[in-house]
Amino acid sequence: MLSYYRVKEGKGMLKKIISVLLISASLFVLVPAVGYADFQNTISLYEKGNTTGIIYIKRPESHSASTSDRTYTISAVGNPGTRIKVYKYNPFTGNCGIIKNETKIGASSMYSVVVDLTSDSNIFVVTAENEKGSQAVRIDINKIKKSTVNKLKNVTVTIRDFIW
Amino acid sequence: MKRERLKSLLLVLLIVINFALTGRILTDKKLWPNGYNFFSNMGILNISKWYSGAIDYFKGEEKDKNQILMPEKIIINTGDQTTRLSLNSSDVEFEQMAIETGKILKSAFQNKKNEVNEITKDTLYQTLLADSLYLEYHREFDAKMFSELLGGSNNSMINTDFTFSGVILTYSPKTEVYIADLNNEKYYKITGMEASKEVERLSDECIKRKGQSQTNIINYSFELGFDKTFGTQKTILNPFIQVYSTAIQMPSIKAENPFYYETGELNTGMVNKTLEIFGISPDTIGRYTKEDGEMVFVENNATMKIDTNGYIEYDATNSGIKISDGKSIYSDILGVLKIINKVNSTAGRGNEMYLSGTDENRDIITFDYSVSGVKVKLEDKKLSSGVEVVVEDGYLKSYKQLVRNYAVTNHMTTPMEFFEALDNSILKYSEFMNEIRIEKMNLGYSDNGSVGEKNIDWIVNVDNVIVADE
Repeated sequence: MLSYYRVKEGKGMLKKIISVLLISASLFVLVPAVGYADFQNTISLYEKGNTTGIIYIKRPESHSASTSDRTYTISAVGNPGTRIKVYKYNPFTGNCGIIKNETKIGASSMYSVVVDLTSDSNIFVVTAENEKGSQAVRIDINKIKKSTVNKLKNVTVTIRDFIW
Repeated sequence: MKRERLKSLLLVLLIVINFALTGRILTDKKLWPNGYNFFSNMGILNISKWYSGAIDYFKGEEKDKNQILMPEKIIINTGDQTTRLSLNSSDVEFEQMAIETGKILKSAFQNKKNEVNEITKDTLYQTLLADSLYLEYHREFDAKMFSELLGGSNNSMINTDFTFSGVILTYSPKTEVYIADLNNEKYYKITGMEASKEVERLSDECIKRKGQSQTNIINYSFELGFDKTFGTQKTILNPFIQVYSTAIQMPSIKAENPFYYETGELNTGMVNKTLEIFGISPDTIGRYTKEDGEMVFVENNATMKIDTNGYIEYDATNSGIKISDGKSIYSDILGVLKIINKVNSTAGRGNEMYLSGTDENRDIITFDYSVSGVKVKLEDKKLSSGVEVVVEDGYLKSYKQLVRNYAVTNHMTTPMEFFEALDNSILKYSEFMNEIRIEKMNLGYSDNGSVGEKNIDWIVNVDNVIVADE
């Protein structure tokens, strides 16, 4: 009788050990996966991802620009295999909706996307994901009048102006 | 007295009318059997044909001259990327625009009153982001050669030894020419030319006609920062490569060998006409056919071969055919173009050809086909250019051509998108390369020398690959 209980107790212990092992294994698999989880079709404007250095925005270099044009081309470089999506901020919902579906960066490491500028203030979020993690970059493109652009082109600012 | 004069006048008038009407009946109505008398031969002479032939000759000469430095494409920069346009020879305004811009360039390169100043890279780039034209050529030129090919004076006013494959031209408010010497990273501006209202008018016309239907956004590589590396980026694009936002749909072409009919029967008329172009009389020439079907024509001064694939080869065994005064590469090229255009018009469609290369000694000159402004990249086992000639002291020594008729089909094809094509083309280097420089990337038709349908594809010219250390 005693040995029967010991066997039963032993089986229960085994179950517990297996459960602990399974939970640990699933945590081991799932935790990083949560970190690399795909960005959904809607993301927050404040999304940053979990790392940096996955993607480098080449245009606009300062992540913001002004233009009188109807479209703007955002360009970037990243490691081959990096998955890129582009979102646009919607002030009515307060979120960013996807406007360009996933594209994988190829052997050239280059990526570019043309976005429409529908309002005076256009906010885009470019997301990038690969085995290193995820990154989201905010880009602001302001639409200004052509005459203002021409005026700005004629303004010459030299370093000397700042020194003196 | 007055009456007598009136009578005489009437008589003269009647005689003139008599000759005119009789002549018309004899020549037009062909009352006599052909070859029998003088009058029917007069009909064959057809003076109006002589006249139109003479006009065509001079027009052809002018066309040949324009053809030498015809750009591959002209980009009209409007200051906005959305309205930036790309034109090629399939656009109605292209030829006229190429002629008008050619006049400005001729003045820019040959008028000693103009000023040439070195400028910064950014200044040059800014001109492409404002109202301007970018003329992209099929090949690279040095300033001296470019000036020579513009015709006229052989002396380039630009003494600086630099090379370029594109020229920027501003036409409003000032006419200025900008050139980038990418090998030495030096940038120049030429000023002092007269303003051209015609270029401005043609540009405006194109923008009006094509601007509304433009859906593909064109960016220069430098705009997107792809002309310089960052981090792990190993690919560098020439700053003037145009990056297209979406795939471009274009028709395929069909390559035909004009020496054979569709039934497979030899077109002897085409063979004879081709021989005549090279001064060979088809009636008196000695000939034999090889086992593979290649026809060989032998005379004292030359041999001519025509194979079953439409490849022709003329080799002078003596001095050759006099095609120019031999004083300049310009006159040599002009002489060669006359022969090329004769062969191509004999072939049927008269496909366009562009100057694709000259060797260092300027003896070997190559031309390639283009169809509706899109180049054909030939990779035939006998020839890697549509035409390859050797000219020495104004004499044609050797002439090789894969004679083709390229017909545009109704079959529309969509090549890969820009980056997909770029990625695919450099994939083969990516394992061992440290850096790769892309010189040119344009759409074109690849032709392996066979007849049949050819689809549009991206042609990527790799300038340099730096291999990683072991």
